[in-house]
Amino acid sequence: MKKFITTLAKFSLFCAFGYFLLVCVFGMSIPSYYSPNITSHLGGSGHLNSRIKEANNKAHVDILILGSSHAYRGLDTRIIERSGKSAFNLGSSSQTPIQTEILVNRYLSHLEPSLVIFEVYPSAFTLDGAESSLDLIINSRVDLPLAKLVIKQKNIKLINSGVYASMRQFLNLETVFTEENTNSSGTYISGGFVEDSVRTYRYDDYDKQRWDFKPYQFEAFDRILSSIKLSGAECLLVFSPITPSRYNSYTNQVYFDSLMTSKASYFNFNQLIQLDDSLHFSDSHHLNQHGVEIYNRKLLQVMDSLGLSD
Amino acid sequence: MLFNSLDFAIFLPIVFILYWFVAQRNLKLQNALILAASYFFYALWDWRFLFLIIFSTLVDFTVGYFLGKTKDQTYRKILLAVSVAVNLGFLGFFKYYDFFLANFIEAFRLFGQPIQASSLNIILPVGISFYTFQTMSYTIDVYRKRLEPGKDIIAFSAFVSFFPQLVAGPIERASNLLPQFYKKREFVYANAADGLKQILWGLFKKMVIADNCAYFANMFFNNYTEHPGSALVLGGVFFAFQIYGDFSGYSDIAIGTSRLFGFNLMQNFNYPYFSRDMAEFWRRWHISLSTWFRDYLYIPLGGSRGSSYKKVRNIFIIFIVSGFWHGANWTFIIWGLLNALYFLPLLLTKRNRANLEVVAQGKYLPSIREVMQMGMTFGLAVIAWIFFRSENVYSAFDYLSRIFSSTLFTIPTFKDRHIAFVTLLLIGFFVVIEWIGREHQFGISKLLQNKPRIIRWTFFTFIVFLIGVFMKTEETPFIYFQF
Repeated sequence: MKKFITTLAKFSLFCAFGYFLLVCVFGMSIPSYYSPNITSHLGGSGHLNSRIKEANNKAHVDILILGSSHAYRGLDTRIIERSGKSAFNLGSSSQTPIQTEILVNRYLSHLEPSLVIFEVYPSAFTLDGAESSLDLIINSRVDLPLAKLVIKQKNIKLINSGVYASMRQFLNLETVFTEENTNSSGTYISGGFVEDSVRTYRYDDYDKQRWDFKPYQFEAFDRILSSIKLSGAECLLVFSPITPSRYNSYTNQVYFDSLMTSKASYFNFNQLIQLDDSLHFSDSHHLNQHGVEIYNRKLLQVMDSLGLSD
Repeated sequence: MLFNSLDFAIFLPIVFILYWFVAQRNLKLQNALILAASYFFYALWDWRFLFLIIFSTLVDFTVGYFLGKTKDQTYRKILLAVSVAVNLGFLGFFKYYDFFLANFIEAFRLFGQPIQASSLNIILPVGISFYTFQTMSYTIDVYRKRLEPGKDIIAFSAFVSFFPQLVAGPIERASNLLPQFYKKREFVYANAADGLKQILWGLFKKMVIADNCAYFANMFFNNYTEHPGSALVLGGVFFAFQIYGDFSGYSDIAIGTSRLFGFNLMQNFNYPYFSRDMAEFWRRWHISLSTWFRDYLYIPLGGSRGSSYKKVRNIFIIFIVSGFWHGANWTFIIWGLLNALYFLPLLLTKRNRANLEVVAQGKYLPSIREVMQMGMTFGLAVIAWIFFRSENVYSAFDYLSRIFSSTLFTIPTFKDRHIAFVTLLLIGFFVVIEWIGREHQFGISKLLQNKPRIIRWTFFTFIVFLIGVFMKTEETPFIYFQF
């Protein structure tokens, strides 16, 4: 038995080392689409690579925006800066609170905002966050909190990609990559916003559905709010508009609204502005630039009314 | 709890440590631990059905006890009938009730007498087809006086619910497995190491081969009307490897896990796709079920003895029952029927035992003739699998008719072709390893055994790597859990 345990322990070490070595070699030599569980290509549809590089070079902003694609495609820093304040959008694709927490811990003290606008799309609280973690792994640095998150998420794709990204980071290979400004999802605008070419959306019906929230996302959310409060910044929670047909299909919006209201200043823009499914949206839950204009102007009014533009 | 889950990766070492370190000196304690672990393992699916296993166990233990006490043949027959009725009753109710009801309603409707009856939408308890057959083998063997009745209820319960093979076999004979619960188990390094290797190979088969093939098999079978004949052939091949990787992978993990605890289970798959005819295929595919039917159904019916009529009848009965065992659907019955048709010419021309030895034994490569024989057998198996996989009989025939159309010779275009290419490469690797290891119990059993440890460990690490890079990120259940 002793021999078995010792040999097994030795093999485990050998296997772990060999495995990570093979992941690195495979990641460097085989395109990602042939190796489904190692994402080795930098960039991506959400422009997080460009956003992170820009955030690292920013010294200070007045307004920091957080959240999912609804943040970086819905909150145009150029419009928000009409309030006379500088703004930076740190949203990323399918970002859920567990990733937002990592970004807040990295950038809150660095960017020192006086206001944080946190886009709280309810669906983000229903996701496990694997997609967003992958985006962070390949486009930002892998540090201890991110590594811990990856281990917690128990997803082999994240582990493999994390190992590969760490190796690339260690060998300083990522600096040579420059992301294209325009890709299929739109054009990256300095400040973190991604402008979509104006597309319209064809109305669709939805069956009644519910958001099935994950408790650990709310736990991360509470920790984020505490960090923001501790930094002395104001926090504004916003729920960006989605198509009315989709919005009305959810049966637990009231619960979500009351929960958010209990946490901080919260505004559900689905109830504050009237938008048209076809004219103001590029898909069922993303605004096109016409919709963004209307939404952001209303947001500035709300900020004004709260005295947050002063 | 799935074998390919993190839960099992935690559960197994805990049970292993308790088994060999805490309960090592006490056989009863070891059996009790296996029983507790097995019930826990099963309860994670649905604890309510645990009562079904317990009830079935108690009935068969009691029947076995009284069979051992009496010599009265009538009384013995009644006892056996009780056991068979209880076991098949449960199986029939949970597995076939809705099927028979739906067919009765349809039959009455066809004869112009529509009847009203509502389906119960019964949930099928996981593993019921497997443990029911296992316990039935016990009572039948005790009835036939081939086995002494069990006297230790804990050991007997552990035999019925032994967690490695509880939900998808191999369906063990009581005469092989039960005595192993009565004698002290010794930890043997070579067996445990071999068990781990077999678990690794089973995980590769399931997580790399079966799950990746499943993606494409589902794509082609679910939307077969949108694909050309060439893609549908590919769909059939992918399904053939999916079901083999899935089920034989499960069996490998089950056998490997049992070895860690000092048990030896029977081999369930013996490289069936290297068979040269369908008779050989059936000696190599799901061996524990085939031999169960052979011993408890085919031979009592007369087997291959007697008139040609009897031979034909017995073959049809055994294959149709085998198909029906898989599920309450006409597709499985046609699948069984088709296999009977494949088998029959071999039996009637007395060529069903023509290929008893391993193909190309002692050689690196098969002859051209053997390649053609294996290709033909595989092709026949794939045609039968199309019935097995299709939603209904109409879809299966439609699928086949679309294969044999002018689109058979077109280059297939479909989503994720590059992943399909990688999957075919992985299948190629798998087939090569299985070919090399075809004379041994499992593919990598003796592979590189004479090479230095570093080479063996590098190979095993490479298998782990392939699993890590090509496994699906979501856990996928084993196909045979639904049977």
